[in-house]
Amino acid sequence: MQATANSYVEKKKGILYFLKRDWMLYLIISIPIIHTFIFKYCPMGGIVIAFKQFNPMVGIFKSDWVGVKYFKQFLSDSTFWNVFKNTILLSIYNLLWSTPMPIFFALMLNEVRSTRFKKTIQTISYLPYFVSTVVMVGIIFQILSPTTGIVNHILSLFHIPPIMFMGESKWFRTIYIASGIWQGTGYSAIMYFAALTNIDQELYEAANIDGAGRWGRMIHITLPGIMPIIAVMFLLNIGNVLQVSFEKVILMQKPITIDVAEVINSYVYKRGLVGMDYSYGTAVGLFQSIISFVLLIFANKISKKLSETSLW
Amino acid sequence: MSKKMKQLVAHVVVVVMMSLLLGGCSNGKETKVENQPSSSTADSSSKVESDSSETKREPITYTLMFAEHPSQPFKPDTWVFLDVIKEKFNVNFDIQPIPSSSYTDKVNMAIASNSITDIVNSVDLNTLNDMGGKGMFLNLWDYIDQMPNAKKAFDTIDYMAPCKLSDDQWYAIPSKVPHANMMKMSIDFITMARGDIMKDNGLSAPKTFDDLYGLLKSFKDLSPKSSPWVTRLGVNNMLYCLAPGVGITFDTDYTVYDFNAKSFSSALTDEGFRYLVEFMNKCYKDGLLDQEYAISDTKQWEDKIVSGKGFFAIDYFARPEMMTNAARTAGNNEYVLEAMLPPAKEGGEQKVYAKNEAVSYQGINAKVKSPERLMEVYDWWFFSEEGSLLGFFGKEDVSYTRKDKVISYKYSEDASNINDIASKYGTDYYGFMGLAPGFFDYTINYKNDESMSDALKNTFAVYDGQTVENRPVVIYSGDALEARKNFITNLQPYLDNEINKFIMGVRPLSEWDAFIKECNGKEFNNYIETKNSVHK
Repeated sequence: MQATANSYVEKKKGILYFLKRDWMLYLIISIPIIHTFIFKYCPMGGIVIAFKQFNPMVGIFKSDWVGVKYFKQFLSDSTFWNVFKNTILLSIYNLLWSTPMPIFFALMLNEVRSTRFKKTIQTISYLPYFVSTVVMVGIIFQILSPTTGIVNHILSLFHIPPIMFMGESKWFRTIYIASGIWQGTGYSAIMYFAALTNIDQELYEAANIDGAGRWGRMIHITLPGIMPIIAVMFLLNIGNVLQVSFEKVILMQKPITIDVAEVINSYVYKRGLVGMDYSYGTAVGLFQSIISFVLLIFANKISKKLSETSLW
Repeated sequence: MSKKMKQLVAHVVVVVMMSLLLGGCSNGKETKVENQPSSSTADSSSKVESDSSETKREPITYTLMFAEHPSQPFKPDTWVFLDVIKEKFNVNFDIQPIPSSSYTDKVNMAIASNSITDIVNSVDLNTLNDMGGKGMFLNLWDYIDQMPNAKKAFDTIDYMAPCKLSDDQWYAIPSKVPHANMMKMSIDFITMARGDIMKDNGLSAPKTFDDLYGLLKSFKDLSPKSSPWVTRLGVNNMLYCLAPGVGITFDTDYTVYDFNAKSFSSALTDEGFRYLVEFMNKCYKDGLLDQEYAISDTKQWEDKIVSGKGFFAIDYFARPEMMTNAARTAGNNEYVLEAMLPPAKEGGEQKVYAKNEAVSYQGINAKVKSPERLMEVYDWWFFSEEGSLLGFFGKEDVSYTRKDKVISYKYSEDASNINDIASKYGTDYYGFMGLAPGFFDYTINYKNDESMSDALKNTFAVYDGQTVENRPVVIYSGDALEARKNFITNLQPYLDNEINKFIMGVRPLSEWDAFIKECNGKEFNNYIETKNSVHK
């Protein structure tokens, strides 16, 4: 009752009262808000060039309005649809393989009893994450080389003829995803390790008493315990589903693999920035963002219904 | 901590954070300028001013974007044109080196944000014309009356005409130019092979494609684990080098030019072109062409050719000398990478194309200060004989010597080959050179220059006069430029990819006709039509 009365009094005092009273707190919070506004929202104004024939000499707003010309152009372009297909396939494979790996890794490591061993493995698994993409792709090229690479050397011991992994389209997606798993699994598992430590230990003790084995405990306690974080991570991954790593794709693609290696991000870069077709590039980029946004909302709704976990 | 103290700390934290945020929002122009290596020779300016006849004129500095390759870094202390132009015109260049790997991105970003430097080096001709027409680059034709040397160049040099967008619009200054007698700048790619191994085994330079196959086979027999033909250039550059041998005038967009009909047509329907693809496919299948040829980079190629994992290559003019030097430095004193003419079949010639256009261009910012003074510099630097000597060879008795119109390179300990000379003195392929009409008479002394390496002498001797006429240059603008951009982003990668597949046998040659149909479905024919209409 007292609280209700207080909040009524505070409501009556109005926003100015609180601004004056807590001005320092508001000032501090204003920094990230201003930052986000300037660097995340203001540049969005530039999206308008997707609907204009951008001319740098007159600027964004004075360029000629062309409506959805560029959208029509790329939607009727067979190259774009091939690029779109590559992006979707790479993303889906990545989602299907890369999402469960850290969960699996975290669950397995959670079962290890030796703390020292567990921590050592954890540290080793983080390391690849800190290798820069350029270096990593360089390593990939080296170890997969048909003449000097160790992988082909091992294959040759089994009389398997050398395979040009980086020069054959059929290997591109496998190598992209496998190297991503190698690089990201340890680091992504951190979230799950954190979630695992929050599971009530009494649940395990109770399950022990009830005669549950390791497998039973993992399935009935550990996995449900980290399910909310799995759902959130999955949703965030869905939101990024079309955001295939631009840097890695550009570094990995060669003219010979371009039919599967060209994705929306690399296409936008080549067409928009290198080819100076800024409006076209922006239109494709905007299309990609809209698809991602729709996917995220859709996945969030499904998650809300199925697991009662959602981003908002 | 007292309440007052807490308040004080809070204030300080807030002020510091706000200033950091605002600092992040500022454009950082001042610090950027400080961080850029500058070519302004401030320390020597007082001396120069007192010595020079230009003391009455105000010193002026122009900013210049420059693509810097890691193996050939910008050297403000030894690049000769900086001091020469400072001395002669009291003009400085504030050169802003940008890594060549991201140079195009940076230039395009600068163009998109209308914030280019006073001079922009290495810009595509179509881009210069397009943005020049929109007012970003200076129309140099407005100053032609005060540029007598440039005017003469337009009257006498063939490749100058395509630099102009229209009768009274000129935005592109050709800055890496072909010169038949200099060869290095007028020939794109040449063939080369291990001369020492050929000599030891009684092998001779191939004259036909069958000879070349036989030579590659001999190399393979001598070293079964090797891939004799190694490359790093990409498929269409190799085809470009070999095309005169099958009697076609090939352009890297997979068109061929018919000099009689004066028009372009698809290379894919040409028998000569098909012969080349089949030949390369045969070499690949038999392990004579490097299995990694489509993905090799420069470093890998250099390792292979120097270490004896490869014996034959198609590459740039200076490479035989460079690789021979590299191998000898690594301890192989017998090593010779020898230039040789490409093979030919009936109807073709053992020749290479003579370049008929500049490799790169410079543009001047339309908002540049005192354009008259800059035009005066360019008229001398890019279009006078003296300026051409400076751009091609540097400073007399420093980087070259000459007897009348015969030039000899001047080697030194840290510049022992022509690429190192260019790197040290900022000459040649850096793109700071033009060509005066009178400069065509100059030649390089390769026959009697004792200090020149045998590898380079041989390269000059083999290719002296061995060029054929190249396809005409096509300049795109407006809708045609859109079509050209579309081709480069969409169709060119597809064509490269499919040709590679045919060579590698991933796609059987029996599907060639289906491939031609696919290309037409992707509007290759329309592109060729556009190219022809622009050409005509």
